[in-house]
Amino acid sequence: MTRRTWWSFLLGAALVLLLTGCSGLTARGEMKRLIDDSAAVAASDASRAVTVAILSPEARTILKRNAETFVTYRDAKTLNLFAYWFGGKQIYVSGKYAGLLDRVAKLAEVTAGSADAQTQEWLNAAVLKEAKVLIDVANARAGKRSEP
Amino acid sequence: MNLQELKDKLPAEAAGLVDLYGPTILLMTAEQLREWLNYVFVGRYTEAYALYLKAASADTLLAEWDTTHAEWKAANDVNADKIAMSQKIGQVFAQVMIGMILAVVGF
Repeated sequence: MTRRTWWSFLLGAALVLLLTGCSGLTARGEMKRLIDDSAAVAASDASRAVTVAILSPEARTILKRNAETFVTYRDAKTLNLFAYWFGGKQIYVSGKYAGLLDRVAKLAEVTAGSADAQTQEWLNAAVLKEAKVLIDVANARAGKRSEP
Repeated sequence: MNLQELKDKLPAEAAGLVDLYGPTILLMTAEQLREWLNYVFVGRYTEAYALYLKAASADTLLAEWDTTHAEWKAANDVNADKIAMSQKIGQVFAQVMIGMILAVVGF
């Protein structure tokens, strides 16, 4: 093969790598583990919240923990590929997901902040709804569709 | 003017936004509303959203989680479709490259 053919091959391979690696939300290291572990815990929380089985103090603790998790995602995200690989940021996102992470962090903070005044039914509903979004984040990372 | 009159003056797609955000905006104090509009007009949407949430009722907060989940779901569907398409392109490219390499080495 000529040198030009090899260069074409390498360029094509790089293009394929770029295209196949283009998930809207990619995570590495600690954040990758946190996203997957939080989704697993959220699935367990959701199964109890659906029957309003979580007592209020525990539900408030869960909402606080979820808020911290969403804030961690927000602070770990970047739209800059160099910051992702070399700058210590561990979640690389598209503009769409960046906006969603900003919004959900704020929503979770406000939800946790208002939890003291709420009933057990409301708290369980909040835990259930937050769990769905934590699972959405894991699905985004895995490139999967979300459950309705 | 009430919310219904406002909706009547807007296109159908904007009327949905009035249904979603209108009731909470009506709960804002004059000071909050002024601050919220300032954030919106200068494009500081995260701050505007935070202010909106501060004024929201407990039920509105829960409804906001449903809206957020729907947005994540829509984004994930688009993302999954994009990845599936990329993988298909990758497979076709790999097949073409393998064919080229085999042709070059004489198989």
